[in-house]
Amino acid sequence: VSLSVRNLRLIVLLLWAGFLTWLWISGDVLRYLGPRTSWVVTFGALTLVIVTIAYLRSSTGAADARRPISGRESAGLLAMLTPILLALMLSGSSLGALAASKKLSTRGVDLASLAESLSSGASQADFLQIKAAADDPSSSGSLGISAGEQVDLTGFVMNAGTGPRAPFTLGRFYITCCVADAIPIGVTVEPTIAEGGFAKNTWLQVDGVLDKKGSSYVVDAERIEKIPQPDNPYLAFR
Amino acid sequence: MESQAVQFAPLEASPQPASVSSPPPRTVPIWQVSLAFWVLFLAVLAAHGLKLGNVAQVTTFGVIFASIVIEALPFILLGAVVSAAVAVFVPDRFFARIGRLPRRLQLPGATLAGFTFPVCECGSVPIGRRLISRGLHPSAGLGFMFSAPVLNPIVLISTWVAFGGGTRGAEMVAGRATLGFIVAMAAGFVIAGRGAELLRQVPSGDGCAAGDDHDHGEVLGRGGAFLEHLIGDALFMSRFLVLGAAASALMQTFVPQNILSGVAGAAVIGVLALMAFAFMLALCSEADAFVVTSFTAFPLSAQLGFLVFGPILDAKLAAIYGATFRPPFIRRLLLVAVPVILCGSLLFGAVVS
Repeated sequence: VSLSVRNLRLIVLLLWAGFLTWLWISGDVLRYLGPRTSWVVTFGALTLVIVTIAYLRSSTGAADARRPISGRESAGLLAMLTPILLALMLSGSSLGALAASKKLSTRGVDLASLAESLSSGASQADFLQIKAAADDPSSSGSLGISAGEQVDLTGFVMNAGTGPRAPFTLGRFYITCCVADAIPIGVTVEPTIAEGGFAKNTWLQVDGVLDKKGSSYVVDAERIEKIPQPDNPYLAFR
Repeated sequence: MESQAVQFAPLEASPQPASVSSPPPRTVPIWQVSLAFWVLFLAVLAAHGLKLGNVAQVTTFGVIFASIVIEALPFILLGAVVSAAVAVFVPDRFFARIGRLPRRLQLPGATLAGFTFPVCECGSVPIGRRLISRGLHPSAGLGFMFSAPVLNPIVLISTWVAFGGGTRGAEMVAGRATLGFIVAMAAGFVIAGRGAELLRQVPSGDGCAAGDDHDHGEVLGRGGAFLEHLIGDALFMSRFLVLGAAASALMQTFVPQNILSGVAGAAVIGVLALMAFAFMLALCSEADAFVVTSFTAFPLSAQLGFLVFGPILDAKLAAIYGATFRPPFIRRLLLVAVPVILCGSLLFGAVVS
């Protein structure tokens, strides 16, 4: 018994329609795309569902419904399932310290203008504002960043310290359209109590006070708490 | 049916095969396909068990790979919808009439038509391919295919917004549209100038893809034929999208991008570096302006190179072109696009700064 082209196509279409619908409904689309582009998943899911249902109902008389599938087309169609399988395999994963080391650093990125676009409506300083204020001290005032300010940051360990009191880099990826364009932005955290020594990629919530050291801001941590990865591990440029 | 009553007259300048006769493909028994599926499924379970998700390289590759495919697939669907509509609902006589026009009219006309189609680069390939197979001169089909992702209104508006509107936004929009138009014209003219066959022959096992204009209409009616073309095109393109996305994700996992920062200030190398970066990132043209605006260490000329080169050739497009067009398509495209974009970008930089 051979599988027809139509039936294997239907399987692939069904799986992709289901996958995109799941991303859309569960909100997991934000693990892959930014809020600006997440609409494409809604569009793709709806289109694929309609196309799949129409194909299911209409093409029973087509030649493809009877034509046995070739090895080449089978391989091509099965290859289309690899993104779905990888997404399932890595369910809950996100870019981490390795990606941060490979991605274009913030050098050359106009953080101040990005930070200003983000700071409107923001209730508290975030990685972007802190980093931008350090890179361009003249923007500190408009960004509301100054030494002594209380901050509450949620991020992952990008660069681990060497001991419980050693400084480490806490950061977050900012994305524009998808994680392919993610930019890592980190801030140095100095534990004031012996509760550092966290491994790379550990998600933490850090409460502390901003301190100016040279041209950079660091966070003197008053409380560090391990937390699970947030539902949306990325922050977005608006 | 009107579209069947008028037969398309083959053009000397565009001798594209309507269909291809090749030996019947080897068929695969259902148990082999089922076995392959279960092997993939068990591989996922084994990967879970082995906690491969904790391996940083696997996670980085997998997340970027899936992200590129998830973002681009809906645009391929959109392109396939338009392509199928062109195949089924536009009568042959329309293309016959267009096809009789001299190339000097077809090429600029088709390239300008890119202003009207809101499709990005993944969607424009099936449409361009369909136009060529329906009788448009190949250079005109390529002109449209290259111009639509750069010139379409959504891309131009997003470029204007990304650069903050005003004078700077208008300058970048003008630069992107002008240079995109010139490159699309030049690439179409040079690559398909002699009317050589461009489209790859499609093995019969690949269904109604890549310019296969056989008529489903007699059996299925127009609606069924539309669906068959849509699904054939979308699935054909998507498998190569997967290949290109994998190549892009591999590069982003293993190649440190900070090597670009060192050349940001160099005029010529800076432009080439951001063009290479655009190839590696494989971003959608409707969102790429928002990405490049943040690279302020690079001059505007380099940012323009990024905005024009990326929608014409990137990692995912290279795989899709490879499956659609005969070699040496990509080499010729590089030979035309790189110098034209480099010179145009540098000229733009000199004018605006």
